[in-house]
Amino acid sequence: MPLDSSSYSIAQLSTQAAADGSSYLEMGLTKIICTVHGPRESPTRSGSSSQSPGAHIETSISIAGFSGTDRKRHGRNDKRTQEMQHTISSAFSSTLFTHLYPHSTITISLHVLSQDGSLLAACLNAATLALVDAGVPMSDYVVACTTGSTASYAGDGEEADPLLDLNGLEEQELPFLTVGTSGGEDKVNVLIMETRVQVGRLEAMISVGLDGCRQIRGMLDRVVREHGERVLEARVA
Amino acid sequence: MPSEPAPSTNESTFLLSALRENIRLDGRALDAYRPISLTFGSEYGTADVRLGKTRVLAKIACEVTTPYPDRKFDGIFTINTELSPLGSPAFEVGRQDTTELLLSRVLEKTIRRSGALDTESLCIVAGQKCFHLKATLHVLDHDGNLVDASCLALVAALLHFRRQDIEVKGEDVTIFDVREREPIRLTIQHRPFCVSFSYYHNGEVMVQDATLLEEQCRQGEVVVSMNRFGEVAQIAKYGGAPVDGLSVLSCTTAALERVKGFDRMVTEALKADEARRDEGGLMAELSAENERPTGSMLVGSEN
Amino acid sequence: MSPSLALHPLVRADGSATFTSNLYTVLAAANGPVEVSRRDELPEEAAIEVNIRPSSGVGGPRERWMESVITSLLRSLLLVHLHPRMLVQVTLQITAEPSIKLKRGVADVALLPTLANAAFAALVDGGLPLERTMVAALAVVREGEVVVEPTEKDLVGCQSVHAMAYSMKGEMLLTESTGRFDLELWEDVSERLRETTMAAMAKAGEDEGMEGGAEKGEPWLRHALKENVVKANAWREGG
Repeated sequence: MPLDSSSYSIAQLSTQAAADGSSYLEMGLTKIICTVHGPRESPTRSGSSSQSPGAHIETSISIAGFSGTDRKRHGRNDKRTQEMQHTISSAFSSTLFTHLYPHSTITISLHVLSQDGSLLAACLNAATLALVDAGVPMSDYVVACTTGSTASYAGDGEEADPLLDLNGLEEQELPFLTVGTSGGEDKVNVLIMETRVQVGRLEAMISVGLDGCRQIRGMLDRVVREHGERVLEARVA
Repeated sequence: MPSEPAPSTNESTFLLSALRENIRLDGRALDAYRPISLTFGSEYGTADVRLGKTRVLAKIACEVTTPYPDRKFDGIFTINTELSPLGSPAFEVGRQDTTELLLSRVLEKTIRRSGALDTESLCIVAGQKCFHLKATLHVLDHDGNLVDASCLALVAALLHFRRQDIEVKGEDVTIFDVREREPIRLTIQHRPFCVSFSYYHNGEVMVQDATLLEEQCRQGEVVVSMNRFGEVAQIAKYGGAPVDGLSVLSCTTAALERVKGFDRMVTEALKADEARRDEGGLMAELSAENERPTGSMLVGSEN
Repeated sequence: MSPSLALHPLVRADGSATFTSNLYTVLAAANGPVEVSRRDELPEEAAIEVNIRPSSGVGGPRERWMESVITSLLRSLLLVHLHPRMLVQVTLQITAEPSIKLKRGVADVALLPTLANAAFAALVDGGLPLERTMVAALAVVREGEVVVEPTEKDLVGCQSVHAMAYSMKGEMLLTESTGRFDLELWEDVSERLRETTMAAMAKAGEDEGMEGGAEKGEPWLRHALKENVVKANAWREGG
């Protein structure tokens, strides 16, 4: 099934009226709501971040207790979640035109309703949509997807077949990486790999990932344009 | 002081324009490391790594506890990376900042998740007793590239550490003191090392082993962890300016060379330490023999 | 064996020192005067923050207790009134411990002199204005005998442990004891420790003249500090 087929993934903009920008994204069974607030004045606190020349991007991820197969409470202080928050913040700080908003903060809140693999990738994609909806100027979409490698550890061959967009089960079994692009063809913005893999397989995995990102970029772009047309129609009517 | 003072505009533009001409402020080549020194302490499981002005001390301790109920056949292995004002006045006590978060995550992924340490070998009696191996990192001086230095120190300390010998008879467990029985090495399955790359000018200039100033001026970093067999344990590029996919791949090639160097260095340092210890060990044993009271002599001969 | 003191082993901290006694090695770093958080700010004097970090794991109540002891000791050393609304931050990292497992209470007291000496040396190295010079020392009472600067073996099975610090004028700045002892014994111990610490701080030319100078140990504090001063002034002579 192609990645951007509508039965597989659903993407919507402006789903929450209260937020400055919002989106809802499904990639397979991974479902995420994202809201964006800002750019707005930074809350007063002593720290260098408020004095920085550009806007400060804050990300918070809350993972619902019912999102996985086992009901687990995910603390906000979980280091894995904090690392994802940091990754998302720094991925966007190089893509958004933060210099236009000195002394301000952009808050990205991600709510994971259901998770079945490719969590970081889905979060990045959802955040891109919400930021577009909020009208924050950016140089390009940040799009991400995961790739895995099928052959087992023992098989050293480069003929190992890379998989695109893994679900939860595949992530548990296979070595995989998340690749995110922005700013033109084959420019890697985010690359996170947490499983052991032979160095020879990386090239194939990354190139397949970049190809997947291109597909997702097309899908997000279509969603944004359709949404734009609808908004315009509503204005005219 | 809540955060490291940002470098002045003069400093950062000077550094960046020098880098554009492939010149680093300390005269190193772009892919060169600062002088590394690895020393082991007198106790087992202590490694002190100096990387230029950066200095990290890793210490391993071991105690007996009950294993986690969902992991009955595994011992417990924890890595503690609390930063203190020792390393830099910017580190506050009890406050977690990004430096520490990223450091602990990278080490966790590089050493724990990649299965460098066989935790099953730490199990004593399934579900009842196991060893809890505590690795503590002390950052004594922070002048950039904490990740590489910490990982090197930690792996070296793990290889250097010896745990007490045990004997299991049914349900009874005897833990022998270091003086009674020669302690045992840990089961290390592979030795992963981290290599960090900082990049500038949209990925055109890649620099290894950045100093603190270079880290503050960089556009982004790529941390690659791998062992000398070319198995990549983790790659992390957290955002930052986008770079070519190919330059990320070239990082892994450069990292492999570097990791082989690290591996050799650790092996040599361990060998040198062992030679030194063996000399002292024999001497100590002889003198201990004389002092040993008759009671424990009996225990010794039973074994 | 006289304890060893190395000044300025660290680069980033304002002042630092490594102090090794018969039992422990402590690495101390002093930063100050630095900005203080609103919460800890004192209107008339500098706040002192001491952090003790065990060699493995994170600190607990024992470390908090030792911190409070060292903090009040440092308060009597530093000219805190010179830096109102500032902070002097002292971090003490234990890097080597006795291999023998000691009783908690004994270990706590036994560690104090090493901590105090390391902290003091770090403050000196950091150039913080001090009111007085001090040296701390440890003694144990074992089989009725007072053993000054004990070794690991002396600590095992001792009756009592005493940690004391004296200023150069012979004022007692710190006393912590644990174990079983009476006042007479304590007085005896404190006199012995006073002699030891005074010997460590002895002025130039006095150490040789003092009776039993060799027995009391060399003036290691003065030696270490003098070396540092010579090093710091090397540029003057060079020109």
